[in-house]
Amino acid sequence: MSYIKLPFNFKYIDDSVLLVNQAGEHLFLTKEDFSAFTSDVLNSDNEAYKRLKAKHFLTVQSELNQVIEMLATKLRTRKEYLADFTSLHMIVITLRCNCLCKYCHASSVDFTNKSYDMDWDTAKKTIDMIFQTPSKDIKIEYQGGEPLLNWDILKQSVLYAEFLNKIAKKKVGFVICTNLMDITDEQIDFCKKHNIEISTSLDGTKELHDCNRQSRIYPSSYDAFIKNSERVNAKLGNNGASPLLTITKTNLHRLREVIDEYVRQGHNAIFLRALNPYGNAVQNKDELGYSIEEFVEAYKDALNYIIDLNRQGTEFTECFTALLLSRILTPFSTGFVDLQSPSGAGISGAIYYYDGKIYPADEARMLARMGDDYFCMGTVNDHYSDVFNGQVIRDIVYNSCVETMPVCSECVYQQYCGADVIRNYLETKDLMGYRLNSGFCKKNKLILDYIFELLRTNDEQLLDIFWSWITRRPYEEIKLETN
Amino acid sequence: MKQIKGIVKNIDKIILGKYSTHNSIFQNNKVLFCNKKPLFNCGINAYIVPKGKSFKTDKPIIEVENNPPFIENDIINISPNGLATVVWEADTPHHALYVTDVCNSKCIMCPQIEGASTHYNECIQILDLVDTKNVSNIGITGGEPTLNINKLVEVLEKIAKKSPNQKVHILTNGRNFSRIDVVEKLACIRNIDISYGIPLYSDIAEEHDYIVGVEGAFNETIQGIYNLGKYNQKVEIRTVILRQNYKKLRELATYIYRNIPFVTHIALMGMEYHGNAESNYDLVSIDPIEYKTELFEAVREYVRYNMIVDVYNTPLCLADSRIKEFCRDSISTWKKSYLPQCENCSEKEPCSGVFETSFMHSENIKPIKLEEN
Repeated sequence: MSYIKLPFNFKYIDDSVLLVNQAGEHLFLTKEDFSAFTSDVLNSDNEAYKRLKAKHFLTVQSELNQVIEMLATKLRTRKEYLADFTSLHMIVITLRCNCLCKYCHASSVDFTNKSYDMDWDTAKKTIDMIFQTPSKDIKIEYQGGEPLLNWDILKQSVLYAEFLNKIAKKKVGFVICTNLMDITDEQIDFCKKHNIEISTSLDGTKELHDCNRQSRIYPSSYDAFIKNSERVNAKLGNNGASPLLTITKTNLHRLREVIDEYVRQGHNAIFLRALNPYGNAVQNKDELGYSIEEFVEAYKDALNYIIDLNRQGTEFTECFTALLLSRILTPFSTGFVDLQSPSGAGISGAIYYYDGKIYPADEARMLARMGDDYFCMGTVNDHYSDVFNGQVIRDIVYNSCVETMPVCSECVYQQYCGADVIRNYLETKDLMGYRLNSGFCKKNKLILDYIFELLRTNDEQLLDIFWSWITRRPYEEIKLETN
Repeated sequence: MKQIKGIVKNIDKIILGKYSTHNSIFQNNKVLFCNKKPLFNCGINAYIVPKGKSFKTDKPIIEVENNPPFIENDIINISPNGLATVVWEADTPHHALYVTDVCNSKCIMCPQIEGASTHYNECIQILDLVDTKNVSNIGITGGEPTLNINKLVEVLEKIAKKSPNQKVHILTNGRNFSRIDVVEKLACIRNIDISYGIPLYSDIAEEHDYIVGVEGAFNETIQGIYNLGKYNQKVEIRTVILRQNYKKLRELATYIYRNIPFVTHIALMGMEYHGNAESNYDLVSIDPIEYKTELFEAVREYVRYNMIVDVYNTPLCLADSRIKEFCRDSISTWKKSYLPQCENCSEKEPCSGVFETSFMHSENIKPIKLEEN
């Protein structure tokens, strides 16, 4: 019986072939089966034929229309994040900071220089602009600098957003990204009352943390962080302040210690992300930087360490792996702004600068701070449609669909990846960029290679752990045991 | 099923009525069990009398040897051959309406014996007689209930009118739902909470179609489930495990998760060796102990996917102990039995038991001893 091949990408791995289709479903074939399949001579009673058919890599004429419809439905489901439009709205409420981190992407200024604060008029217009988004579920994230240094405006803008929401009736969440250095009781109480999440930074042990995160005031930023995070957690409950890790040369080879510190402080997740080349991180590149290969090796070691922790009964998630696993193993859409196709810059997230300018991503304002205002979409004084339907956002979308981008269009990992237009522009002055072996491409490929290597081991305990990460449930709830 | 046969008079068509042992004047449509002709005989559809107590009447009357197994307010169906069968039990919150004997599939392990008659009208009459206010669930089964969609809608509308927002579970092969207008008709019925139990046996069409006995059935069913999804209907997937599909239960789980993740429940079901499953025994039969590993792996897969899964009709002694909490006591009381060796089993209470209707049972059924746990 003749069959029809449906679209897929593939890659030879050792003695087998990995295939991924447009719905993100994958399977491994032997080289022989793959060769028979692509030469249209695979027999219909072959097991490989049945697997290919069940996962919609091939079909027969009588089922073609229906299978195309099903693939389309699955593709639509995976791209559902597009339907929501912009949901993450970041506000740079001030550029002032009380820390002087060596890797500061935002290029913060001294905490006495109030000319870098957002004023009330701009803050009010920013909230007005945010509420024009069609998204029913919005998150307003305060960034800096250190957002708490412009507390009055921050507080007023939260109250104003809540006021507007009495009519708009959206699901609104607030986040403050703070180093916690000088958080007051009044601020903690306000966060509790208004259900504001606190996101913070933790780079590992005292030694590792203090090395790159230096306070402009205190001798040890770690000590101040610990003291205050305990206060925050006491009032906001466990995991009241969730920390983000920045990986530099300092802690790259000591990630196990970093993870131990996270566990010790009661956190149950970490996001292993590579340093980005923006702001102070560029000036201090020699001291902080590392190669992609070095990063991926450290990532693998840390991931294995985390997996072992889980095996021994400590529930702990590596968030980037969890994201990629969701893309590989589930049919659902995943909302991660930095790795989407088309790019989430602008259409999933936007950032409002202290001076009222609007950028499609955090990195775009970092770039602006470095002197290139290319990605400025407009200001809060403009009309919403001129900003969010303007040339910048259109250019981003046109140039960030990996399905149509040379090289990416043929990559086996296309369905799990995305485009980083800002990084491409930074490196090549072109939105689509030259991705053949760009650092971004190399990193994602190496990580996905490793995740598939792990999946292929068919280690059932590992799969249980992975599914606990994907579905955000305790491992205990997933593993089946005789009781 | 509770039934009794006797010598019948004055009957040329099926009679329905509400079983009673005392002759209330406020009650209509009675099937009265009595020793002598009552003085007041309005509102009586038929009599059941003990042997030798027959009397002269122009109403249907059955003379029976033993006391009927019915209880007050059971709905009884009396056929012209003298068989009285309960069609609606008064003392259970779960009820089934058997709307048709006709089916458009020919499943090789179907336990029902296919026929040519339909019972939609009789079901509507039953609904006229009963109080559905305190009924927790009404099952609708056949045959294939959707074959006469207008009649099915009539039955459902009747239920919705009698007890608004009633939970109704329809067992269907889902093939007719490949026509969106059929789904629309059902989805438009107001004040009713319908869920559909639809069988899926394999992740590829050829294997499913072989089991169902109809080419193209898989595609119709999948299209049907998509159409139900479009109308936000609740869909449960029912997978009977037989020789032909037991090896790929895990792959089927992945197929369901990747293609129809909106289904609300999955039931993995042991076979009832009756009807086609009995006549095709050599072809389809498999001892649950033989698919212990495959069943465990399928359940684990659904658990990972965070989908709700249950195992039906599988005695605990034949299942992997790690999935014990998923094995349900699923067999209807009137069909359920235990084997003599089950008397010594410490897990008899939560166990499904076996189908009394099955012509044979697994040789591996053995008591589980408490010490083992």
